[in-house]
Amino acid sequence: MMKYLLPILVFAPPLLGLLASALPRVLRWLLLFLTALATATVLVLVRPGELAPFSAALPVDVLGSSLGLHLALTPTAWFFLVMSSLATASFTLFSLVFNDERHDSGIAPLYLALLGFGAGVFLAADWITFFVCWELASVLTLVIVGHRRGHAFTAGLWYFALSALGSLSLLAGAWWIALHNGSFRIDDSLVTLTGWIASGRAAAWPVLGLFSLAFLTKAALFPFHMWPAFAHAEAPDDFSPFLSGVLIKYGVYGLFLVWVPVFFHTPEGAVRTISGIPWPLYILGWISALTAVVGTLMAIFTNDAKRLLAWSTVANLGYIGTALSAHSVLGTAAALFHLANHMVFKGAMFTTVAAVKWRTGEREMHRMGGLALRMPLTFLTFLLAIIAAAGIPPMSGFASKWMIFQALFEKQLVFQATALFFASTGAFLYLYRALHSIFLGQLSTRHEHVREVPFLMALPMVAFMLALMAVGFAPGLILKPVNWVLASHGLDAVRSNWTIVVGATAAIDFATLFGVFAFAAALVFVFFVLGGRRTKVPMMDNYTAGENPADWNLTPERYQYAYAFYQPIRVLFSWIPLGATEALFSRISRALVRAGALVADGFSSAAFSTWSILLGAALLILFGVLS
Amino acid sequence: MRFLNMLPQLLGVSFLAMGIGLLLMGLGRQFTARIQRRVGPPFYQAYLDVLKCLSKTSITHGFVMDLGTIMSLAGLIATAYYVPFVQWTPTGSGSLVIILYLMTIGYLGMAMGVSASGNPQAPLGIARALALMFGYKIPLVMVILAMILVTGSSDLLNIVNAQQGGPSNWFLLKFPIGFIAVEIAFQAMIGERPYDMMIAPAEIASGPMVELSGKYLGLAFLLHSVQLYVETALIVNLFLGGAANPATFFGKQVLVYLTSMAVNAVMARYRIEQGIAHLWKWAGSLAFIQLLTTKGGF
Repeated sequence: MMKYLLPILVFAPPLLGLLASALPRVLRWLLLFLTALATATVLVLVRPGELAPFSAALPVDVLGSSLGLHLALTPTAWFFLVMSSLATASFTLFSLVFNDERHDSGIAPLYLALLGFGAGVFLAADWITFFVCWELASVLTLVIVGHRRGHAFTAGLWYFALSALGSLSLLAGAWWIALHNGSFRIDDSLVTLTGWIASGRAAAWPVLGLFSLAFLTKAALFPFHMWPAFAHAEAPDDFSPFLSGVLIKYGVYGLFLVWVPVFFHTPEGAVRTISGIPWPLYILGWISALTAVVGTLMAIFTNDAKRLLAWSTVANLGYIGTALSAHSVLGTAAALFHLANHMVFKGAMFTTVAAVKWRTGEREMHRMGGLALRMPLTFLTFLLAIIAAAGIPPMSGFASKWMIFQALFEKQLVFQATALFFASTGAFLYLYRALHSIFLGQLSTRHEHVREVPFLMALPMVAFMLALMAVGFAPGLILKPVNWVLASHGLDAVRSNWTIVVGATAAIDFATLFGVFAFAAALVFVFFVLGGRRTKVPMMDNYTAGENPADWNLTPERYQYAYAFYQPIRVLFSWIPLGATEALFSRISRALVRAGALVADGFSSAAFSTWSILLGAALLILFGVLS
Repeated sequence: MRFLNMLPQLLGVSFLAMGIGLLLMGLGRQFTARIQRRVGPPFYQAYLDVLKCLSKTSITHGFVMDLGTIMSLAGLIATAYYVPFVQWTPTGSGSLVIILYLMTIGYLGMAMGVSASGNPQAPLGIARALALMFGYKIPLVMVILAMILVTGSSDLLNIVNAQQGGPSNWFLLKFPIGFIAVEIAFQAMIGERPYDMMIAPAEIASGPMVELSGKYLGLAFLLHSVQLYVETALIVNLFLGGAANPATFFGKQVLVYLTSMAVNAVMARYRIEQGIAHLWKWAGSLAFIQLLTTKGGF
């Protein structure tokens, strides 16, 4: 059983997916949840290194090496898999209740298959397995995101087009290396690539570029930053947490898989460095910092709750990329740590927004408001999640952001640090805006009868809150496994115990931080209780400059400030063409469509098709003669 | 155990911060009155105001308002535990990243509490305050980064220690351009003219404060007092070499605050987008020059 555990993790969910398509609705979602839960449980119990790699060769030889299925549970794969499967288990529990008769999106079987192929991406030990799982996961995501025709399908196509571009270049890169060392195994090809870089062979850089394109597009780094705003926002509401929390991390996993071994094992002096960092990493750092800034600005200007969260994901991927590019133990650890935190807080935010939409049917933020009084638990989850997302202590996000800044301070990357501070301040702006527009202010009369979410939906929310607080109190919970990953790459561990983390320029005791905040809150609470008596008044009992609200026909909905919330900042940034990359990609796609039409027209004419067939035959004969 | 030993010190710093902050507020009002040739209130007026507010009855619009009010003051008081007072903090750490981010939870609490009051003037003021935060945080952070480059530490205690041995070692002289940038940013941080658009009494009915009454207003006063304590102490620690005894420290805080009150007394208010643009143009470019020259090793 243990021997076959790895292929089971990859192939059992898709098979169960086939089974699920024959089941009634409730059982489908239950099967999905149980599978996710079982995966999470198994992975938490199994330590990396306990499982032998799995290999099954196919009787097909390509470039002298036999193709086949190669799976291995490396510590890196274990870390990504455990974090993502724990998150997925919570998301699917939410989905279980979310997909009632009115909201069923019918994606459960596909979702199940996606779990399996997603695990395959992390477990793959050769590029072919990696590519197949990667592509299958992309196709499934396209189908899920575009399950409803129209707007959603276009969104899925955006995602798919960029993904296909990336994965083809990935295959080309793997092929290029296999031509030289005859192996598709990931570790072999990385050793070869490192050797090429060390010996100054020019081919190393295009190969690295080909590898990275796939991951940069998947991780939505600039200039590929616009697809999450389409795909994450248009996906089924209960699928968005998975898309934003887990799926986008595949890109980071890829960057981690290739860049960390290559650059940490390249001998000193083999690569030109800028500020003590190999130049490709330095460029990645600036791309990521730019991504964080652009994602933040876009999030500030958007009025759609799900789009706001999608842009926030882009910005957070920017932080992770910047941390990774600092090329240090601290930076690498910070990237992994922030990635795990992002899974939780972004998952929590997307689930709460899904819960709100489930109850109200609204997504545009200015159409909501005052829901905190009707959905207090959902509000509290969202509040803790935005505290974490804005990097405010004492929640988990602060610990990882602090480590990212320490990594940047260590390498004296002050301008990147400034960009991240800009993004981080901006994060506070758009997150508060979301909190206010959805949960605070006047409650619209349309939402008078909204109720809190049912128990099973509240369960994952409570889990998210506990996770956010626990990690904020004891970052060691995540840093311990992070240190295993670092050790497997031959790096030193981050100096930390459960609650204290030592950075480059300072050390922080997070338990004390948590404690002093709790003490201050207790002190203020005493003031509050000792203060004069308070009376609760209705929301509309409000200062109106002496005017009678009835005279002005003032409804609660109109007495709410939520639309165009940061207009002054929009005015300030009016000179930046924020939609430019989107327009550029649209132009490219239109040009491609036109070129495609040209070819299609050509083939429909007899003369052109005869000519091209003859040309093809001639080329075939020519190559046959030459080889 | 260590935490239990810390508790009396924490309590002491809490009252110290509120006490000094309220005194600064009183002195500031008296000072402004003298500039405007008024008699003005006595210097202890702020204490009376807070006690009066806390004792009065008040109205609330729900639990979020209560939660936000408590969270806001708690966040600022917790920040005070990390800001060195005479080269000492009760927590033993003066991490600048903690200070910058812990203050934010105070603002989030404030923003949340007043938004929950249901009056649109409040979020309007908060939106302005947060937009302005965009304006002053970036210059401030750039100057702090320059200091981290020089001292190799992001702990404010170490930054103060690096300035010991007389005024010639003060970072005021080492980072003169940065000092001007931070002084401009400071004016916006404490929300005084020309950057008081988030309060703007005649325009948006005091913005965030519009629905506050009784103890809510009293706690908001305390919030402002702790904010004044933290931010003036930040300037004193960053540029004026801290101090060897509490009296000197307080004296420097008064100096910093009254300078800003003098500007406040004679300036008019910017519009919000003008304010941010002004901050970025002047404070931002000066801070950038400071960071660039420090990084370049000039």
